[in-house]
Amino acid sequence: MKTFLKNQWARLRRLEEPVLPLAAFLMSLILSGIIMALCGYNPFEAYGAILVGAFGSLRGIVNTFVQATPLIFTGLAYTFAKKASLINLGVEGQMYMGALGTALIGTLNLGLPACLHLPLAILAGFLFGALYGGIIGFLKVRFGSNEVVAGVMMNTIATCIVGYLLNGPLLAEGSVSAQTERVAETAQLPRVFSQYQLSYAIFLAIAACIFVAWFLNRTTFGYELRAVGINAKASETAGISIAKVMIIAMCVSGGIAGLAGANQVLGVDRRLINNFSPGYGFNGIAVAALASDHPIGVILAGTVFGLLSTGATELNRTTSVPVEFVGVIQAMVVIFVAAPLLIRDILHIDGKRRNK
Amino acid sequence: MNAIEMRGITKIYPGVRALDNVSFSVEQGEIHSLLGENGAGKSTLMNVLYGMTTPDAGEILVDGKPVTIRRSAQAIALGIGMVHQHFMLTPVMTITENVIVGCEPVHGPFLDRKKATESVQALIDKFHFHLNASARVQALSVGEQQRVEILKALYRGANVLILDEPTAVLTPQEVGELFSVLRELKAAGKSIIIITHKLRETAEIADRVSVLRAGVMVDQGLSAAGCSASDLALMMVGRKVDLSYTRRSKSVGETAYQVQNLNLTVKGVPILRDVALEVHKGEILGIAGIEGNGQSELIEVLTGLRKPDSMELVKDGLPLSGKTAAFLSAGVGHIPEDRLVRGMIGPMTIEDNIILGYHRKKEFSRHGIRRKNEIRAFSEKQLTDYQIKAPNVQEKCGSLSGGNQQKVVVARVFSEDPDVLIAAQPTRGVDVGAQELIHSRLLDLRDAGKAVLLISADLDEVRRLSDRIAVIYEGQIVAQGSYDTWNEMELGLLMAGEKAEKEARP
Amino acid sequence: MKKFAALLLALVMLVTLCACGSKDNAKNDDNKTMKVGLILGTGGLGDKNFNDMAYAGMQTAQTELGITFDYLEPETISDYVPNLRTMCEAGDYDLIVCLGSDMSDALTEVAADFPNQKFSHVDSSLKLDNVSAVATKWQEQTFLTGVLAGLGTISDMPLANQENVIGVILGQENPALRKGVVGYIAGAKYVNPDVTVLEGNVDSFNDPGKGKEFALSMYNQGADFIQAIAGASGMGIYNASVEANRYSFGVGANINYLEPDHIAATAARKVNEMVYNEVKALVDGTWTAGYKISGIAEGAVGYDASESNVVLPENIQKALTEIEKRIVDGTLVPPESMDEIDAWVAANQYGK
Repeated sequence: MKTFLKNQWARLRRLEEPVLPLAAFLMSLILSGIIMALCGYNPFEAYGAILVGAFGSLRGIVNTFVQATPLIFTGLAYTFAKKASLINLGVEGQMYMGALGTALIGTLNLGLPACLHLPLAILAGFLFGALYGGIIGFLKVRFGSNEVVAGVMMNTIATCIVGYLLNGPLLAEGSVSAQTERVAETAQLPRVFSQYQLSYAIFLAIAACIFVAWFLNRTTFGYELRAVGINAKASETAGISIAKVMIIAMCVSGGIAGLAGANQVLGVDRRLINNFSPGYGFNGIAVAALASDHPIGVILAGTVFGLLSTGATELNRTTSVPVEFVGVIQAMVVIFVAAPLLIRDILHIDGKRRNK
Repeated sequence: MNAIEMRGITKIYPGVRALDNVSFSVEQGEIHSLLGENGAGKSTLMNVLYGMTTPDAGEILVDGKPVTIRRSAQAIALGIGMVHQHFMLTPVMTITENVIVGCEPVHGPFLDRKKATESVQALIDKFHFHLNASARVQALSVGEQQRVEILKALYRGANVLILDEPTAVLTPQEVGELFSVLRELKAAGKSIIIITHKLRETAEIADRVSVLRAGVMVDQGLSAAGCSASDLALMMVGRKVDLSYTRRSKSVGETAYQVQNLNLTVKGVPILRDVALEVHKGEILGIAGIEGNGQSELIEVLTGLRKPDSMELVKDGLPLSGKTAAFLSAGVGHIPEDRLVRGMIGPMTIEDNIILGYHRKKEFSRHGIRRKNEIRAFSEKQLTDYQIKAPNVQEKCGSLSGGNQQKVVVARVFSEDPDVLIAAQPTRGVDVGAQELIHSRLLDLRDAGKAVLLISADLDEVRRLSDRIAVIYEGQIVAQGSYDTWNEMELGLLMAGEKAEKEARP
Repeated sequence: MKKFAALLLALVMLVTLCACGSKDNAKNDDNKTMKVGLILGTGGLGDKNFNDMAYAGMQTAQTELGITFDYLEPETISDYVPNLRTMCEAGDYDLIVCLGSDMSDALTEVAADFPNQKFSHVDSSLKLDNVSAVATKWQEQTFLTGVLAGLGTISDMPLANQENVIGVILGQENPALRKGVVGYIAGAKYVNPDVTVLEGNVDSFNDPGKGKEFALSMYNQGADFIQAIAGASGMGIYNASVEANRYSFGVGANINYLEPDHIAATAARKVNEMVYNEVKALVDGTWTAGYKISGIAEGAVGYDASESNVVLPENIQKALTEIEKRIVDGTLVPPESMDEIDAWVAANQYGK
């Protein structure tokens, strides 16, 4: 009986994990509402518009998932690195490089059937992102550079490289804006509904989350990765190569980020457009935080953020409430959920106080 | 009248009596050494005095008046200053800026920089600290930075100064400089408490000594001149050894693990010097020594965690090198000295911890996928075999008691049946039951013909289990011999760096 | 567990309230009022140029024509399609105004799915049955500043020099902007056939530093009037004109107020009027689909010297008015390509 009670208690305590982010999310809604009211807008009107925009029509629901797809990928990318106690702030750059790799292969007319061309283009996105993420891991392991700083710098480099290529060598003929040619038919991700941008990448994103959850729990490497993430010294003592684990973790994280770029190129825009991301990489951090760094939670958290940005369109169109308030809500979520976690991660505070 | 008097201080952490009815007093104008092994409760006692830890019982008197200290600010107001082992300085700022922070002299709303620099320089000159108040802290040596920390305390009017392991980070010259600074302060009437485990420094600088051991004050306020280093060493590590429940090796075999010509230098400081050891099959070789004489580094080198400057290492006649993974697969087991740091991963489950390091073996992993059922069955068997008290194998390791955590570590290592076992502090911080179980398993392993290298700060443990004993002092093996070569007094002398009086018997 | 339940309850309440809130605030549409949607470019409101001007045109239409309008601000180009669909599916917009040539792909896709929806597309070259594609004549936009430069450089204006040299600086080599260069050169040579026109290409719309370098170098080579066609890089050109104490011309929205003593005029494009005219056509019932290019005659582009302190000699003012009139009445048609300039100049000379 005692054991049983203990198990129940343990289960209850585990429940706290999803409860905390949920509470933070609600708090951010309430506080944003108060701010709106103070600014002279009706928060109920605003939240109503967001809900109608996101759920009021098939388009709303579909667009929620269109917005959620890249966020699930970037959130998962951040989460994966986080499991090895790495803060990958380079997700945005890895996504851009992934998009570049995908576009390079996708726009080529290889004469391959879709069943080969499409996976090849997606793989290119993964590899470009993985290589780019791996550089950060390598710099950390080899030269001890801080992955946070390196990640931010690499973002700038990636957007500059992509921007340069799109204004020069890769610029589509006769195009006024900086973008590549359209992706070949054989490399396009099929869409779920022909008239909407939602592609089958959403299922790839969900599958990736489930796979990562399985990978971390059931594979030997996943186990090593978690071990290094929690206690690097104990892992070292157990003969695990921390350098190897960290580099691979950054590669996989970057690869997943690259898939976000691949989705954008093959499914949404059907070409690589300069500055295609409104900050998916950084919003991915907020998604991961809302998900308490749980791969499955990322699916839900990404959908919530997708819902907000889809609702923003309706808010923009039908109410006088400035669309910036959606940004306020998202920022509040970040403040309530992500910022304390981020600060804890960056400072490596583990709260342990030990007697000498 | 005592500058500080602490009476009956008790502090209980979950499962541990960190301080048990400890009394301690410091006179005005003396240097008082607070001796003890790591974990003996020295820092806890001083944290109580400095207001960083609230005791569960006991009272504190400052200058004869009972006081309550709940925050550091109160301690500072009472004239108590503390210099932590890790300095809290801002490198890019000047000495003055670092010293005055928090109680800056002001001129209206502005900082009176001139006055600040003058007063700090005056303080420096008064105690002959040989510093320039306008120098930037980042340009200072470690020893000078420490003096800035002392200045900070003095600037705030400290009458009693607590120094936590002040020599741990210093070079020998800097130690000398620190000591002359401390003598200046003593001459000026300040009371100084030094937390340390170094006997030689105690003898050199302290007027009186108090010794803590496992949360208990062994002896308080001894005159430093009146007690020898070996007395102090024995007080620190214990002397009441019950040799009744033990057994010695019946058959010592050939050499299993042999290290020669081991040298290690860290940041220019020699840590291990010409170490040569050999452990035979069916033998426990115990390393005795006061902590901080190179034991931790020796363990790291012998388990592949640290690369020495030079070493010849042979296991069963074959040279051994490479990283930790190579050592593990060669059959060198390792019980790490600090289970919380290297031994286990607290937030992971027992079953995850019990295979750590052996998780890639084919029993536990097939094609890179973990064999969940096999791991489960294995862990459950270990749980029974080692009497680990836990609801199930999915309990987080960190939520277990110290003894059960250590049993998880021991079970992991022993289940691999290692040829050579490096057992470091195998029973530190565990209850008596766990200690007995671990000791008897160690003896069993030895009797099965395996070689065991035991490194322990607990002299009782070393004497009880070892077939042979080697004494380490300042990174050198100063004596080696059979377990009965020396009595405890003689071992204490050796550990304190005195020359061996009798030659070791083979 | 209690906390969890309370949180859930709060969530349910919030959702319910929101849903009610939205119903209460649903807009009451008056059938008689025309409703127009506006989809801005990715720059969004606050760019002091393209998007802000379009928005201002809508506001004018709202007050003068009694329409209502909603607008959307896409964050990225990827948002164009969903934003267009959002407006189309809402079904209550009589016209959707879209801005910028980079929306062409998205509009082509969505317009095909909503054949009965009217669109007006600014800066367009689309030829679709339900799209009114409105473009402007670049060569007319810069023609009059060219005239001013051509006459100014041989005048006794205080900041003009002896040399018969003027300049033009591009932000990027592309067909539309090239026409602007052609108009400027043609305008200058129309009044001053011997003038030398220097050309530069910053190759960025966002590099004022480089823009300034180009401009300073041109002023050194004897130019006294420089036309900027370089987006934000133009800021450096205006700055250079102050430093060199010469004249420059703005482009797009009127920026004469930035350096009123040195920016003589702006080769203006009145996006606000283009948008207003589209809405007006809708209200008047004269809206038609198709490709429409407009120039000075339609009031879409032209010369704007308001808010500039530069005083023009009477003869130049007179010339500008006369030439503008000729373009409006169609007797003068500026050339469109570099190849045509020489022949055109030979055939057309002011005052002859």
